Amino acid sequence: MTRPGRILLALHDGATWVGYLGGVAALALVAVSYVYEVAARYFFNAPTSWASDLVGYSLCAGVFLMLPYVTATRGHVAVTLVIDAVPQRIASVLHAFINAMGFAFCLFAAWISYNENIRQITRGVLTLGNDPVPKWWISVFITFGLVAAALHFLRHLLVRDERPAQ
Amino acid sequence: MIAWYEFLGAGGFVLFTLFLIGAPIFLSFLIAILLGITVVIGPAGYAMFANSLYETTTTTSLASIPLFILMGELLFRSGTIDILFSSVDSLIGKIRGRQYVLVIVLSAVFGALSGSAMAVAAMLGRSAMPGIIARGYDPKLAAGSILAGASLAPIIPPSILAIIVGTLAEVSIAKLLIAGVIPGLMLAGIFLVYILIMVRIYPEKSPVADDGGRGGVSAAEKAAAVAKMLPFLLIVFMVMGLIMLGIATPSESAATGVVGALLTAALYRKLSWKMLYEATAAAMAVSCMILVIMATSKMFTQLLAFTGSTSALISVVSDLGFGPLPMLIIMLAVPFVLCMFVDQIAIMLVIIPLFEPIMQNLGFDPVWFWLLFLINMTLGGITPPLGYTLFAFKGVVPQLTLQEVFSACWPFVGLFLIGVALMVAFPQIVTFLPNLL
Repeated sequence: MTRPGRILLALHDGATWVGYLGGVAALALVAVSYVYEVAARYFFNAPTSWASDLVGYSLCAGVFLMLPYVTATRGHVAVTLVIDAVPQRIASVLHAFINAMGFAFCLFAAWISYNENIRQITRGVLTLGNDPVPKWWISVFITFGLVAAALHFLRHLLVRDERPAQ
Repeated sequence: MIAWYEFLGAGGFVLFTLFLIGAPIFLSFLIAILLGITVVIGPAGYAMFANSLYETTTTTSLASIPLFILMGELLFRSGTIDILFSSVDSLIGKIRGRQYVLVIVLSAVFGALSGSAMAVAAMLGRSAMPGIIARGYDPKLAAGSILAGASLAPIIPPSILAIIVGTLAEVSIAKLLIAGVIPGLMLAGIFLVYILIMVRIYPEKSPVADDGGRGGVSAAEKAAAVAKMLPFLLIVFMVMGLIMLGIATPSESAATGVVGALLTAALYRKLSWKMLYEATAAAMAVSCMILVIMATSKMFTQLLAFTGSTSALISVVSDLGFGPLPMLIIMLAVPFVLCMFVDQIAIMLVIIPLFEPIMQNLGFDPVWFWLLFLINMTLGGITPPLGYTLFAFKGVVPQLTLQEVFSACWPFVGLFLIGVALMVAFPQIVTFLPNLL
């Protein structure tokens, strides 16, 4: 593999790893926000205005930050009974087809999400929470997750038995 | 405009073909939905799709999914669950069929701490099954007991499936979670009665006078076992108790349950940063798998409405002229059969939007109907040939062939159906607790 190719792969792996850590942090933030909210509401009679919003934003960010890692490690739920039962040659063709579809459709979905990000930025769209923030701050994670997942499908298609990006 | 039956036929064909060739479930939905939007709405629908991804994953009630998974991960990874196992083992006396009783009781207890049937089946298969076989119990009856017991996990709260059903069907998640308590305990009772009858009729299925190899447990040891279980009761209280008392929403109670699991692990000196990090990462990865499927399939409901499928289906069902009971049987049979072949979450995402208007039209109590639906989904997981829980169990029990595991399940599938029939005949079994909220 050429040097630029290796650098691109390293960047993709790095982005996947950062996303993984971000996903872990997002879940921790969800838990802490809710515990704080319950404690503030019932022990101090001081409910927050931000906990529910923060949980929603963190959940969205966490899911799509973790998506590239789950795709890289082939961790998605699938019904593999047929593909496990057919001869290896047919299974390879099916795997290639699935990975090609995964690349094409995740990239297509990412393009849709990116256009929506741009629309939200240009029109100054805000979230509907108690404390609104620019919506693209959150929805940009969707674009990130779909692009990085699409690239992992492409890597699965081009490089057989590639190790997970960790 | 595409006709509704063409949309359903073509969409169903694409979706189930992708499922069957082994495409990830989320990708199958993504492909089917994007093709559906392109054909039915055109490019104008793409922004709706982007928003559906955002709306689903910012739904705060769905935060309970990663939190409940995290609670279970903390208990399993910290090893505190072994203390619970040992305590329950100490409390069950010297009775015939002791190990079968033990796994059913443990399943019900684990069900109150974890929402995953596969996790409980794998855990009990790995930890309890070797001892059961070594003591001369019937492996098939034991396997059936574990699988049936594990299937209580998605019924007894916390339940990931109940949260998904509640979100999709727009039913109170708190009510749906609480509704599972009595049916779950009733099913556990039915399994216990069946086992006690079986070991009386067929004494060879159980060694006489088994005390679990403990040589008799003193009253002090039993008191110590009860004391060791108290922190776990705290977790159950922090989940179910706070919901019942109206102190916390289901999502908030999931977070307080996480705190309970952390306190329990700390109490038993099994809490570490490494374990905490690994449990959080595992919980988020599993949640990502589930939530990304829900996010990519969200537009399905809108496409159904757009093509007129929703109103057309209600019209077709009304024209059939079936009464509520035959319709109920058909609507419960569909997920039961499909779950033998396809992933539970995928089935729910397809069926719930189709069933929801029909269910309303028939005038069923939503909590009652969706809990029966949930139980049927769970049952599909232990029904041969392709129930997912079966494979999770078989994966950790190499001593049994797949055929033996299959044949072990059938009596318990029958018991589940008896339980469902009781809940249909006496809806209060399901609705009593939620009506108190």
